[in-house]
Amino acid sequence: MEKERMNELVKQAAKKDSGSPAAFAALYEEVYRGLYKHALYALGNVQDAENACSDAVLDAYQGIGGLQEEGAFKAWIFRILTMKIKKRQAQLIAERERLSPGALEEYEGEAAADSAYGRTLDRDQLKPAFAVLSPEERNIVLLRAVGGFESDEIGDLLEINRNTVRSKYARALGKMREALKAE
Amino acid sequence: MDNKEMENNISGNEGELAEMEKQIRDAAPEIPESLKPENIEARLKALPESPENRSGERGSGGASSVRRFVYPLLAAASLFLVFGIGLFVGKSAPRRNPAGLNGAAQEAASVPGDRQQSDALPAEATEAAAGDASAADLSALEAENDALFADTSIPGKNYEKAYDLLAAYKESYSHDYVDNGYWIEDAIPEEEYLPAESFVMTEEAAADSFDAANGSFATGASAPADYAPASGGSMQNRQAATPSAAPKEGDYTDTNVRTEGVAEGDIVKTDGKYIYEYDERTERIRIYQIGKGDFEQVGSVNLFKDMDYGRELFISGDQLVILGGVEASRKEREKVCVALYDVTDRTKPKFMTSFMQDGYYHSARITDGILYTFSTYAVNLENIAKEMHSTYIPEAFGDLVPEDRVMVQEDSRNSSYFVITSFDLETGEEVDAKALLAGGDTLYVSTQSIFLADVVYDWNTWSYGTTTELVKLSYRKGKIRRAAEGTIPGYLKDQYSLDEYNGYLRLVCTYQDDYEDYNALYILDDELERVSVIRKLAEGETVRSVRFMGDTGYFVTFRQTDPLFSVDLSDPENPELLGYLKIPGFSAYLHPYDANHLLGIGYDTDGPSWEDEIKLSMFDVSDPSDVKEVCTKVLRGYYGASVLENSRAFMFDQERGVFGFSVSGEGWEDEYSEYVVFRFEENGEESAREALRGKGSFKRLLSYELPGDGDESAMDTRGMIAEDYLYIVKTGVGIASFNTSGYGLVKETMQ
Repeated sequence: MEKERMNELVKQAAKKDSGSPAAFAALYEEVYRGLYKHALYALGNVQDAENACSDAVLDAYQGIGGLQEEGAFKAWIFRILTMKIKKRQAQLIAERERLSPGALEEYEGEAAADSAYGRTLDRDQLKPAFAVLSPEERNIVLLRAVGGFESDEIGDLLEINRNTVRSKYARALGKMREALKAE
Repeated sequence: MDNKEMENNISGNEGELAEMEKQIRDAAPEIPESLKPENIEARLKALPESPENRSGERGSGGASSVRRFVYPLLAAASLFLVFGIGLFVGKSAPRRNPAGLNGAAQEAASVPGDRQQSDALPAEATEAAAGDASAADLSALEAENDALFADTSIPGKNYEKAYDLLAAYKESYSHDYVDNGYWIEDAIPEEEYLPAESFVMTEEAAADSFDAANGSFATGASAPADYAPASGGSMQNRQAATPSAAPKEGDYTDTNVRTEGVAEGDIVKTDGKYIYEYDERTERIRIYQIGKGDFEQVGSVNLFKDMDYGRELFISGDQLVILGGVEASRKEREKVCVALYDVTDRTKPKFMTSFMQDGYYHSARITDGILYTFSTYAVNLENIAKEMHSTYIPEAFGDLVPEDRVMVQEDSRNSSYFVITSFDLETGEEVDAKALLAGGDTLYVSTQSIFLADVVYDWNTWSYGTTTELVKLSYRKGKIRRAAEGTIPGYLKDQYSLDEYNGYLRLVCTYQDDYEDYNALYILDDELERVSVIRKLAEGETVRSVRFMGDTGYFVTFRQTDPLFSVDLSDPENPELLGYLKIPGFSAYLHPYDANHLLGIGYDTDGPSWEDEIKLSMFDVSDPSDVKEVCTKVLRGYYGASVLENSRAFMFDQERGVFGFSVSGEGWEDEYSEYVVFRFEENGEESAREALRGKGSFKRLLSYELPGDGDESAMDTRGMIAEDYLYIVKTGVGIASFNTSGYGLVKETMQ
């Protein structure tokens, strides 16, 4: 979608009149597959992914009036989604910690079949690959591979050094590849 | 393979990594139905419009079941004129008055309020000989009230209840999607006890009912005895007494408040002799002495040291009340801060005392010398721990709200509290504090009750529609008591959509049924039980403005046509739709102008401009069965009006018939704003066109250009008339004064 059309749609959506939902939906259509994919692999199950996307979409609709840069819609909504994902990941970790102290280390290294992360996605090929990654690694991989963000952007979002982003990214991809090979 | 091995294998093969990337990019998991664009669009369309709400969503884990979105459905503005055909109806049907003096086990608390409200008529007084038994009854009532408010505690293990509810709310987030089956139909068991029900007013039906109205009611009848106020005036005079316009005590216009007698805070205030201004930019409060158009700063005070930001102020006698907040930090959470100053010597404000309560500042009221402060406090669900009460119970006045002052509703799905404190300005004492685990989308404070409305939209159910949960608290001299709870379908536009009268609560809401918008007028009793309703009004439209005036109610809905509906509310058990008037554009704010006229300020949706321009409308409501639009005026080039964003920005001088507010607009390259002042003149002939319309016209008395970038309707500008002079104050910028004879400029520090 050309920049102009996008800007037009953002303006229209921000107006919050009868034409806004359609305008927002048009913007959403450009990114929704990526958004869901991102959430799905980051959180590991359909329900959490749906929730996270739903919340992010509502937040985005509400706050689109504040969208400053032109043409930044995609980055902006991914940003919102990442926040939702991080929050959920933290909750899941906390939950796991409460259930079995010391599970955190385990969790970082592999997917626990009985956790929320382990549910669903039986037929998805990438699931086992993502399962070996820590939440942070997943976020980095998805933001880069699916969201198309640069390492400094990812660094900002996840609050880590951008060089760390690059090296973690490479290592994470490697881990995934190995995991798939091992299948 | 362990980590070490993995590490070794990872270094390097670029090609393989690129391939991995590609695999990720190519993956295309199936998208759930709910997230498909068309369904998202539909969900967004169904969102209710809501006023700006600052209740934080922090800690609620993205549970968006209570989200607020602005969604003005541009529906034809129907202005329902509800007028007091009640005169006639009142005679024939005995009215049930839940606040009767005859010792019924009712809320006696509501009656003194009735006596104070200028638009309420105590039924007993009208039947008994004037003044006969009333004195004795009144003291009996006072005694009953004292008894009722003696103990306002809320029994039960409320801390535990609060924790359980919050924990459950947090838990529900991590469960699978559950369809709670919260369908609108379940919430409205209408067949059981709703006696009055009308149907959608189609044009034909409207025309019919008009005729019916004309035919069956004798117009022009003199007011029957039970409507006559002590002065023996007619219906007209009663209407004149009802507008909750700015009362003129002393000789100045006060803030435009929702309920007469209940003061509201604002950024600029006047007491006729001084102007008090809160300047957000420099965080200073300035006091100006005014007189004959002259103004001079005589005193000022910096924001109280513990406050990070100010919001509003009040002047109450010689006390200046500043309300603001303290930002959350690592150690402390967000709090509201109230500071009191003694300004007996206006040149030297003296700090007296301050207090705090958890949450974000919502608003405040002063009535009967008591300051009621409202805030919303969002619980951080991630931190709650049962043994640590401070993680889920708010603080007020420096301490945790005591367990018997925490109100938790069963089945509440909220992670925010509405915190209320009451403070006696005369004695400087803390009176009461209450924390309700409830959302507060709309707050309406009458002379004796506090109504809180919370819109609940459960995303988990996929069912269309919202419900509004109502909570009613009674208050008296600072003591706050839990009174009743109820629900209605749909949502309310703002505090003008509710009105307490004679113990009843009348309200107009917009709701959805089978994916379509409708509107309803409900009358609830003092326990918030439904008494009567008129449903399915104006299909496909939403409420844009409402004004209740005693036995009459007016409201505007909007989509394509613009009906102005009028409803007769004199018999709470049988409200009657009297008719509707079709006009272009819609009014977003209605204000009673005088006994026979209703002023509407809104938008001209049929105009040539690409954006709707601001429009004034004057309606003749002397004959409610035949409402006429007397005149209109479109403010060309102006798209925003402060009054439409904040009703307190409206200035109304009832005596002079003068009103004013700021407007803003934008051209190709600039933005601009003005303060405009108008008067309605009957049978005016401002122009040939106006004369043709007959009956009256708007006369523009003043158009004062405001400096600045036209910042969104000049929200920080207020006008006030004190002793024959108009002062326009733009906080932090300056003041301009004018005489009210010719509106010539006297002095300005603005430009």
